[in-house]
Amino acid sequence: MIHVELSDAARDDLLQLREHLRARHGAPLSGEFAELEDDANLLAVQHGAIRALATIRDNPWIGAENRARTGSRRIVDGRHVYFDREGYRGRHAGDMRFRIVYRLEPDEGAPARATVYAIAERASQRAYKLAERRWPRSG
Amino acid sequence: MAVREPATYEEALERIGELEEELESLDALLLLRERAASDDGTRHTLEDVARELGAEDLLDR
Repeated sequence: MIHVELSDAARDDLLQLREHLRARHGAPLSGEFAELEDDANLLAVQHGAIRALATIRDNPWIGAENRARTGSRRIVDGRHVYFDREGYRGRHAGDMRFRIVYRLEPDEGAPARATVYAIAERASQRAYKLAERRWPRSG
Repeated sequence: MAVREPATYEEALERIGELEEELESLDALLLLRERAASDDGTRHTLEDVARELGAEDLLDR
């Protein structure tokens, strides 16, 4: 078990999830995000993120390596996990709409903590793009 | 953006209200962009964030 920390921007991603989605997808939300205009559904998704973060705490390597994703540059040394609210049914079984991008620090082999740099929708690779901007420049 | 000349005092007040709403939206967008681009080194523990969402119980397992 390790410490999980969220950058200030990643915490904001999660706590202000609806506002961020509205800014990127328009208000009121429509399509797959329309249900997040309902407070209960929004909170259920946010709790889904907490569950996913707890799994990272318990197994730091549970996330897939970012290097498997083409187009990554700065975030190649990080990982990602998907999450959604319990009971969400997407178009396909197991579909989840959101992604957490994190890095094991100080290194992958013996991590003391997982730092989360972005939490956002999978659509348009948004979480990767946010993480790219926020990723540490070295070490 | 086309400038619309208000014909009456009431219309002018209405237009001022609309512009104020647009400015608030722009402020919100600028704030979001700041957030998107920055990492000031501040960190929050999972426990603190869970508490803010009333989800501490989800960490007990």
